[in-house]
Amino acid sequence: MSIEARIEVTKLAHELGASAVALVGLETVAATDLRRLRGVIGDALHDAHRGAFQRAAQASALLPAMLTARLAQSIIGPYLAARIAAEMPADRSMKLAGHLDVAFLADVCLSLDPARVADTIAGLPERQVIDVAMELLDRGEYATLGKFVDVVSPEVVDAVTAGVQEPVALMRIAIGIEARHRLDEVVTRIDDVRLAALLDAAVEHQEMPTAFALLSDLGDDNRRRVAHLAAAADPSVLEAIAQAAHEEGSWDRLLPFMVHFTSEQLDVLVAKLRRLVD
Amino acid sequence: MTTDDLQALARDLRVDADDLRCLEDVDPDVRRRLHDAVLQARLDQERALSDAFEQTIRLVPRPLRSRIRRVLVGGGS
Repeated sequence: MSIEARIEVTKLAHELGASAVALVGLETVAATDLRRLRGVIGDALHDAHRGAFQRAAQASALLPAMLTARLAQSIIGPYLAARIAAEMPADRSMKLAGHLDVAFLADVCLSLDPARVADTIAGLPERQVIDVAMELLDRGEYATLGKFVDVVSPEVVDAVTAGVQEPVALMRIAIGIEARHRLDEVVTRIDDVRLAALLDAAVEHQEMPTAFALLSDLGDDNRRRVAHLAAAADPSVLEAIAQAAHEEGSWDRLLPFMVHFTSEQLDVLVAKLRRLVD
Repeated sequence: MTTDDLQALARDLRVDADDLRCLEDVDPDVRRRLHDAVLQARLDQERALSDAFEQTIRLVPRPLRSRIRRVLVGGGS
């Protein structure tokens, strides 16, 4: 069972409003299959009451936006508001969002499918999107932030990454990114100092397996950057990467990075491998 | 060929059983827990909708109440 599969099970549990413990055992399924399954289940749950969500969206058009917003915050709640927003025309959603508290919008984001509301998010004032993102960041809702990376502007991504205090939080945000090519774009926008700090944090928090899984999705330029930074860092970084590759049985993923190492750095990796195998 | 429990989960999700093929080799107890979680999520959603509609109808301004009720739940009174 891979770290990617464990991450997918956690995401599926969140989709179902269940605890991850309830789905223990699903990690044996391949991560790509789990991701597909999460999409199937997410769509099915939405479709189960889609008619009701559409009716609620229609009803909201009969009321002044301010009243609808008040009803949303006091009665409808963030979970249903997220479902209903997915069935609402973007211009209507944008108008309502203007009357909603940042805190409530952040709550809504926890249940929102970014793909269903991409047009709405694209039309919101950038300042508002950043305010909601910073609220999620303050709450430590990193996975939720990650899923919105796919639909927000690079400027919003820059504002959030600049606001991240703990390097390990960047990694936890990255876990939530669904479109893997966006991960590479985001890493490109992170400077070497922060990227090096992320590698150190992965070692410190014993989360190198997760970091390694993410780094494997990077393009060649960012792999080269990561390889150089890892090689220049404390030997514990290279050792942790070797450990992660060994535990995940994914030495093949390490190869694209190893081509950028010097012979001395490769010696560190090989020495670690010998200790792991012996 | 998918098992009976996967067929049942597919029916409850209203998807094709082939969409759940990745679960064929999963322990039956794990599949059962997933099915339970799906049913609970759907039930929670249904209850939340019912409560929200009822309260909304009660709290909207009286002149709009009938119209909102017709849109949300259909019918009169």
